[in-house]
Amino acid sequence: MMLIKLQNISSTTVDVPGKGMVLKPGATMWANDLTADLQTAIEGGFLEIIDQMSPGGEELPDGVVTPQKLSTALLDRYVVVDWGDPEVVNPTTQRVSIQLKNLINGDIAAAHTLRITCDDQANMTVGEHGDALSGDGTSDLIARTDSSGQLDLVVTCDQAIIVSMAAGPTQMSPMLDCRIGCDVSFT
Amino acid sequence: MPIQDAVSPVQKVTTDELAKEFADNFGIVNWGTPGAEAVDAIAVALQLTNPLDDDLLVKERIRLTCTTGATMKLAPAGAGTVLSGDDSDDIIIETDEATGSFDLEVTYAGAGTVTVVGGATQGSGFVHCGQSVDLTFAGE
Repeated sequence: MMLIKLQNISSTTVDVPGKGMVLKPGATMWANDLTADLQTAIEGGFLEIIDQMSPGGEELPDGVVTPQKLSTALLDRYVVVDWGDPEVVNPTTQRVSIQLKNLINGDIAAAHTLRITCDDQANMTVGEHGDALSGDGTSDLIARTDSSGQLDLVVTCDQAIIVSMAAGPTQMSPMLDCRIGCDVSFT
Repeated sequence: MPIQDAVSPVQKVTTDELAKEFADNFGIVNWGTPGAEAVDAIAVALQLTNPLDDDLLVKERIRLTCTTGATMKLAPAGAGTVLSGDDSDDIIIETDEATGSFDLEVTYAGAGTVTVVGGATQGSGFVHCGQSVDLTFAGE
């Protein structure tokens, strides 16, 4: 729920409609919905919305836009690639997952297309979650997350090296933040 | 006055209202003024800014391509790192983490204009590369 803070911007004491209270000039009040009476008072130039409360309860001054203020639909347009911890399957095979996140670290449950590249001494296939679109079994893979936003990668390497992996945008990708990569150690 | 106007201070979001930590999620590639040509080479600086026009002091990976026949590399003692393609017309660079900049040097033996464009690549964040830079070589 989004609370709104109203201020009496008139020079007279205002009888707040339907609230059983008055506001002196300059005084403020919180409301949890914009009733028709409050709307009329705003339109009449008596009250003005000066602040709001975020869904998490933290007070946010008007005029400061943070990711927490974005709607879910807007937040989910900015997709951050988040890597899990690699899991050893056997000495030459490891598994690592990608989960798509939004700017407030919430999971994005959507299928999106990514390009994944890694050291060319290793190769990648798609595991349980997600689909390979091209390059399956190579070091340059184009894949799609499943509808939960997850992509499982199985990395194979027979060299005793650290395999660096990077994600990036490609055709059909959304706006992506891929600054964080993943190192998989076969040493 | 409709209610939309009454609540516009909250409903209408402008770039200037972005909190810095939010704005810093988004990088914009800006090009400085190219230097003078010297020995078939021109230096030009790339600087990241956020949507508030503040310098963005982060390490960002960007792919740079330029007109065929020219080559690109890090300017001597310049800021930033070339990750791949050094001395070619297709390089991947990393901006300097302390400044958000990359000092590019472009070499072209002929006379004419060399255009350099940036783009997102593997390991990039939210980066806007809508601005290119044209370098004019006299072919001395």
